Amino acid sequence: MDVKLFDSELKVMDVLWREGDAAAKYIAETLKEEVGWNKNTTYTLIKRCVKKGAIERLEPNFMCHALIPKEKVQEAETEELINKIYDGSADKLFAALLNRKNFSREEICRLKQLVEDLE
Amino acid sequence: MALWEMSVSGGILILAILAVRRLFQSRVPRRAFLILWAAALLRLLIPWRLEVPVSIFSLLENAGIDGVEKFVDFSHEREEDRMGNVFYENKGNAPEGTGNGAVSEESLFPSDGSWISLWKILYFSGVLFSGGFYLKAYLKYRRLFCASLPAEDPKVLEWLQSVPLKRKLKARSLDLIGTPMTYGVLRPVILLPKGIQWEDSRQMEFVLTHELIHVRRFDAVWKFFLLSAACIHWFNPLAWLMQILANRDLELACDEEVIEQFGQDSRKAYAMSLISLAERKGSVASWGSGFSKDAMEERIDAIMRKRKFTKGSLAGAGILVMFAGVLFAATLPQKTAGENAAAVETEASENADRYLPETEAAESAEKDLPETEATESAEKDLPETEAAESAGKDLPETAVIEKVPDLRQFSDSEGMVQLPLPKKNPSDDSEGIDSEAVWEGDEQEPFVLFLKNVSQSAEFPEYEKYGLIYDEENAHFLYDGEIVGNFKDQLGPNLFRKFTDEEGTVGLTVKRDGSWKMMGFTVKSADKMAGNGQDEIEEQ
Repeated sequence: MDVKLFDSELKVMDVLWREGDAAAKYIAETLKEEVGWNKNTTYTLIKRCVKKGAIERLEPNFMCHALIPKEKVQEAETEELINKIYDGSADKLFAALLNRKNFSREEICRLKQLVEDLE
Repeated sequence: MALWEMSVSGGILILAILAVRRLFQSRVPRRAFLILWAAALLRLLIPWRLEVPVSIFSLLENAGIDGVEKFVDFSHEREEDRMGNVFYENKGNAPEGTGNGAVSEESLFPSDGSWISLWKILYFSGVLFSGGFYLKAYLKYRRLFCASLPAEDPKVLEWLQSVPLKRKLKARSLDLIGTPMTYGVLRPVILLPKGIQWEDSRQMEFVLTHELIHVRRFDAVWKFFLLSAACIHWFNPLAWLMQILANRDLELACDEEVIEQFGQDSRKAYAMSLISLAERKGSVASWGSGFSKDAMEERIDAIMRKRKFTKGSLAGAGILVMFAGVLFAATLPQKTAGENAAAVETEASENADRYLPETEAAESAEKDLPETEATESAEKDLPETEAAESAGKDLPETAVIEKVPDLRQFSDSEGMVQLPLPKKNPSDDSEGIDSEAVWEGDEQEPFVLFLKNVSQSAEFPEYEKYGLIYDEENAHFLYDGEIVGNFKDQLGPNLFRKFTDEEGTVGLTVKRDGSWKMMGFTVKSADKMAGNGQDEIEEQ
């Protein structure tokens, strides 16, 4: 089974792949140093990985074990993820109100034409 | 100041800004519009209560425009009542002409307690809903942003090093966003989409500079207050419109500064790099903040049309800013009559310590209120509050105070005092002074006002000379450290001043000689005096 992970989740997995099983506390400390995340951010990400089946949580001490090898993980495609994350969220609602959406090819062309015209 | 007043005056200000914005769009620097929006924001968020000689309200009122008069009338009502009317303004959607509708609203919803609380509940649930909505969104994004990774592009890092900013600026990358944005106020972060490919180093500089300008100008704080105003005035569509348009102007002003930094010639390149960012697969059409397609077009248009600032455009900006000030002042709601009076009242009481020469006092009394009118209103024995209300429209409420500097001014043809005098103990007054108009209400307030009147009367300085003190805070007269319970003074033939203060213990009777000059006080216990007070006055 392939698991799709965000960049941030991959960063957590990286620690496990690199150093083997580790306590959540250790991961948090490592990542604080490496990328400047606070403890809560890392713990949230670990829990998300657990939910996705990428990490197994072992007691005691919230030991983390990588359930899937690096090769099996797919980097999630950005577009899909944005849509997924934004789905049902406040932003989506507000975006709808503002008629905000991606630009189509024609719209981009029209905007470029506008620049040429106004030059 | 009631919320609806803030909302209406803010709304008028917003409408004016909309008109100005349309007229001067490309002619003056965008930053000038931000000042206009700031004025509207201040109006919506802070309950100003300043008095200005000319305001739109007073002008319209003079012109006899119905709706506005209605507004002004509302202001006499209690706070809770106003709350109810807020929702009406919204439905009317045109704050200037809501008078007629307001009438029907009033008849539809009697302003008794049940409706008031219903409106309140409705209002606050609106605030909670819209506020909670954005708070939730904010927290969600904040959490996502927190999980961003440090930017690794050496060019970006190099650029960051060269930034002169007191706060520490960081750049991070995130795979969940499509376009660059910033967040954070004290520790600002420029967030870049993961793996963003710059077409050239110039595009990178454009993007980063744009974001830096947002940071430097504290645009996040602006956005916060704009959104707050919209949530607080959620029932006012103009507040939401302002939120959207002011956000756009923030963006446009930011573009403007980028072009100023990079030079006029960079306009095309800048516009094109905006478009190419929008073109990126999966990107949302925003650059820092939510932007609709129309807004994108507006932006491109503004960038391409941007001219160098000339003296003319700067002068235009100056005029706009002045205009903002004028607008701000002009849409200030007037003080209501009640508040007006309250202000003057304190002033008056400050003056009370001062001795007012009798002639001056008499003059001012005459000016404020013709004698006939005074007697008239006094004869009706109006309770104080009612009198104030009727006076409120054309006369400041102080008339009530100032018109009695001297009891003799208010004597009728027979020399009788026609002032409403408090009589706490009706049996106390025997038939001997039937000429006294006696006010029999139970309320404390008119009594306090009466005491105040006495303390401002022409005779008071005389009383004071013999040791009578007015304790304004507790509304008692003090003599020798004790509260005066009974006070009697015969000022002239058939002219009396007397009052009873139930909390008092001392009884005072003013001694006067043949030419009615005060000689001093006769001191007794208040109880004793209440018993035979009448005889005493007759003796004199």
